[in-house]
Amino acid sequence: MHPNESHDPLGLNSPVKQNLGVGIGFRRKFFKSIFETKRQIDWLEIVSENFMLFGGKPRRVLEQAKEKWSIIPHGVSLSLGSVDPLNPEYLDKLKDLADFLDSPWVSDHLCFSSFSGNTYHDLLPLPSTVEAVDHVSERIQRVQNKLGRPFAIENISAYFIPDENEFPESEMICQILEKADCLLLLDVNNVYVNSRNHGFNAMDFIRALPRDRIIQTHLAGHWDQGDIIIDTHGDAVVEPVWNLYEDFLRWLGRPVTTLIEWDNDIPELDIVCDQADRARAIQDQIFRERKNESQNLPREMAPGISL
Amino acid sequence: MSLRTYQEKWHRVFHFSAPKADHERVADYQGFVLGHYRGIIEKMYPRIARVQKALLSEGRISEFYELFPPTHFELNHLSQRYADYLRKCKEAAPYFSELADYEWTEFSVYLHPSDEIAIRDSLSRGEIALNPTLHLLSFAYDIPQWVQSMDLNPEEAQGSSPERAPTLLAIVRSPENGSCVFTKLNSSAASILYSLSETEGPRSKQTLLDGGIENPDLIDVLIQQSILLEGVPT
Repeated sequence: MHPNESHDPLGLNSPVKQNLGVGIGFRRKFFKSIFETKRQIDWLEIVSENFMLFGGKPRRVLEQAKEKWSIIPHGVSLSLGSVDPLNPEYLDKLKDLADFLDSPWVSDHLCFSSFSGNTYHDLLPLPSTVEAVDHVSERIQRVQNKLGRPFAIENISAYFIPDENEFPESEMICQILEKADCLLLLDVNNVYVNSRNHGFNAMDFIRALPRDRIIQTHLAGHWDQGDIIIDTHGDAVVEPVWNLYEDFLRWLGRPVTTLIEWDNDIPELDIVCDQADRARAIQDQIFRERKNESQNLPREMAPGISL
Repeated sequence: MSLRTYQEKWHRVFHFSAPKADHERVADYQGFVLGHYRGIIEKMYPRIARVQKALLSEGRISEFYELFPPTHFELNHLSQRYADYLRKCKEAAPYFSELADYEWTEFSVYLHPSDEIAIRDSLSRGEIALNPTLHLLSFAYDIPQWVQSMDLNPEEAQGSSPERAPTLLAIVRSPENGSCVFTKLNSSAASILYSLSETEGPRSKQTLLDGGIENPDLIDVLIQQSILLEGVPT
């Protein structure tokens, strides 16, 4: 059931109710090793633009991979928040890719990355304004209608808080999710990076978001320069982000599709899989505890655990 | 402030000629965006960087950005017109734009969206067709030879230059292993390819031979080099 047809986006009949487990980014470095490893890899995320135009080896490897794993396209150039029109060629190719992969959903970032026909290839913050909410929500609806499948927006790390903000970022996200009837890819590392850079409590931010629209999360490393943290995706997940992930899961109340996002200075596959194993172990631990707790309660008080 | 005005403000800082933004964090974004641009050009044209680093100086990249601003959604494509820029650039010897054409074409053939394997597999025995990933480059200089010597002796590349010699180069992607194959063509080989390009669909190898070719062995050479695809017996 398409989320636009339901007010219960992760309800019983939703195609995205499924938890895919813990996945990794499908990077060129892993094109061979990923088929040879015995490590557990539950699903793969690809950068959409890396496969939208290209054939040859990348395409062949993708064809092989889709026989083994669910693959989610995660874009960086949709530029949802730009005042430029949505790029029809881009949307056609994204739809072709999603159809080819039979992806359960597609995602991109809540930002703008182009203006006046120029693309910046970076994710720039949008102001939290009524105009931005209306603008982005309408575009997301068009994207979802085009793709014919659910669409998730990701919260970005932003080094600049616009003076133009009319309300907090979390409020903007809530309004867009409701208005566009779409889903949220909550990047836990980005929340942490922003909380450190701008001085707010990360879990307060997360608690303001609608649990029932969170379809996926990202975990990644960053570069702590002291006076600023740069979201590099070029290192292991740090302990405070693991702790935030645990707090987030306890609040969310269910396991969630999780990605280890390592895009730069990519190590060998085993090291990325170690990170995935840790995320999996955290989820298993938390939800095993919950199950044990519920089994100790009188039957009429046991909370339903939706998985 | 409207959303449009907000984005216009940002747009003005993303030019190499713009002064460093007052706001420290906006200046950080300037660094990221212009850094991506510089990084991609260096990645896509490594031999130019090796031979004549000055062509990838801040000033040159800034000028390229102003003349050919990034408009493509795919990151590597922001460097697509670097050869066009070098053709306009008076300080760049003409062989540099040819080298840039070579480096860009190598990338685009390697990742070409056509499926040469499917086309080869659809051919009947005795049929031949052009490899759909085929690109022909015509140079005034022997760029392939220059590239070969640079790749073999990278430490001696700096300041080197190619021999002036008209060269026709075919670049295809091999259906066997997905790698690029480079072949210098003579006029006879080129005429075979032009003749095939004017026909829709595959041709019978025999028909081509019967049409009168100066050097029939060339067809087999073109097949070996994956420039022509041949139907194989099932």
